Amino acid sequence: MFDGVSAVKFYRECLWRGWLLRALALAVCFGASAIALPTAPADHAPAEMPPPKLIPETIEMGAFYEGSHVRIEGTAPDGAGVLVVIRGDRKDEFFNRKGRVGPIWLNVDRIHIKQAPSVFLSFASGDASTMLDRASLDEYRLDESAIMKRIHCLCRCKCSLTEGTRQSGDRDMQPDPEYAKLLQGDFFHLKEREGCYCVRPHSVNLTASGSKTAYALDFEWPRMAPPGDYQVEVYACRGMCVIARSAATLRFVEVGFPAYMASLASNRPWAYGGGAVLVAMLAGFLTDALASRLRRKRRPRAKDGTTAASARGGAPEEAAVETHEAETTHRD
Amino acid sequence: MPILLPIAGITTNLAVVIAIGVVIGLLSGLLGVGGGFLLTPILMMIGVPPTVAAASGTNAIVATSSSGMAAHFRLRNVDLRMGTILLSGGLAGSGVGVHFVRILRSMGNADFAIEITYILMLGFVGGYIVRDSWRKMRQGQMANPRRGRSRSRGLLSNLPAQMEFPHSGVRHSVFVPFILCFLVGLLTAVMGVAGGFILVPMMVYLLSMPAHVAVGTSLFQALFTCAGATFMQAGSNRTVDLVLAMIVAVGSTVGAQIGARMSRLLRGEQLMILLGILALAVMLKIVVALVITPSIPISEIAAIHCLPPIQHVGAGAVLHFGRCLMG
Repeated sequence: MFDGVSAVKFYRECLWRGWLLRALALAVCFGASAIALPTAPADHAPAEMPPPKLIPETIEMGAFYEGSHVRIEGTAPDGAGVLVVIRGDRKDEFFNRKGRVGPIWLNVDRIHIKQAPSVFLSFASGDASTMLDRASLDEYRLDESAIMKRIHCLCRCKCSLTEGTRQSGDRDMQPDPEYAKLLQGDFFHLKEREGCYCVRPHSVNLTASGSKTAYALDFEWPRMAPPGDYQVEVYACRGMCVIARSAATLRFVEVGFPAYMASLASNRPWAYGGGAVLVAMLAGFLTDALASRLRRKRRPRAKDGTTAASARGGAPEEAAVETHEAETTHRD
Repeated sequence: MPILLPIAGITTNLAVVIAIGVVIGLLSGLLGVGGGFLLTPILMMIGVPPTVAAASGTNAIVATSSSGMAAHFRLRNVDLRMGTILLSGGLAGSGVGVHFVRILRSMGNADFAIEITYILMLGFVGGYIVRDSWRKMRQGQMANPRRGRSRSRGLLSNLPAQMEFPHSGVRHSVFVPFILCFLVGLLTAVMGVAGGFILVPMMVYLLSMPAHVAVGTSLFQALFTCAGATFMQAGSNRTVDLVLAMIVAVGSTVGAQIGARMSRLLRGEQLMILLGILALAVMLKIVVALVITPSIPISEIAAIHCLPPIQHVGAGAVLHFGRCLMG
């Protein structure tokens, strides 16, 4: 019989089964998404490319180092644009900033630039802004704007460009955003003038090489770059995103006499300082001794030991005066 | 011919650096100025980092002043006794000057004070020298200020601890050169240069020393000042490029010899008028730099104040040396 109690039981069982079915459906969805999700970002994560070939791999600075020409070449996926970035170590730098006070320019602020790369060279086969979207350029720090965003500035003077106020202090302070942007721009342009920072579009040559694209970059190594290890990063771009990347290390080292001098100056600075003073003094006194000997040679003595004056038939007094003049010239 | 400067980390042309040295040495030998105020900016112009330019320039001046001083010493133009007192006074003055600069910096006005001090000092000293020397040259007088005996000189002769300086042919209280050089040291600490072009006129006009002896004695003082500064710069900042300094020195020691010889061909007034013109030219350069809008308004902070470290270096040794000289 189908009484009231059994009807309730039946209803509860159906309800329970319904829940079970829903849970099962949810689990299937989760499982499917768990399988599908890892494949989604794999479309965006750049693949690895063969590392670039650096010619030379190590730039050696000997005593007569005259600058160096660097060539970077390799292959990228077919149809991709190529960006090559060279970065130096990050370091802190300090600057004075001039400002106009009335008619004159004075140092009005002390700027502390934190952790900026010592060298930043960016080369591209096209215009970087047309090869990659802003998010990718910022993520991989590939252009001027991206680098400037990462340059952290501190200042001693709280300037507000919008309000036109200035407040000096003796501690490093966080600058206002507009002032920080101005400082970052000044820093970048200063480094650009030194040759340590540059952004050069259309400087990477691309040629078809079978199913791949061969790239080549030629440039002069910056004269002001400090010795050290430099990271060479190559990015292959297509569809406004990075599809592959590779990296290599370019070494810039001092060798021979300059390397010896540099290590002496940094490892034994006081001995080096003492030596520098002694060498300079000796050089000075030696030059003076040489000059004095040359002057004496210009006033030759005759074979019998008399002076040129007496040899010419001059009086002994005249000879004595001339000898004295060779040693000490008369005062005015 | 290219050459790598190991501490500066740049490659430069050997001939250019030697030529810079010859010009600096010529000024040093001729006028008794160290040349630091010219050398540092010129080295920066060829790409040497400011800190390395300042420290290596000081090292090169050691060689230049050694050569110039030795040449002047042979010509009996160095008054060692006077030089030692001046050096002691200068060291004490620069020591006090350093603290004065610190106070100015904490007040936030140091740079303005330094620039204005430069302009006023160079303008006053240069203008006075040029005017006075020009007047004497037109009147055909020989520069010999010691012949006149003013009321102030009468007062100075009554001060205690009078000492003969036979080499300079003057007699002064020890306190006079000491205090004068103390004031010069104070100024040079503020200005950050060795102060040859303040010291030489001071010796000629205030201490009544002959111009040639003033030049030689100034070089003696510059030698010890710059030797101490080089030692401290190398030890503390590691910014002395010995290769750069030696190349400059090769040129400058030769230039100093030529300068010392040339100084014998010129009369005292002519020497002083050249020094005055140089001081006015440097003043003009500073004024122009103050007024012209910089292309990039930031510049790397350079350790150009070479005098401050001197106070730590061998002040005792210098005084001991002075005592030995004076018996």
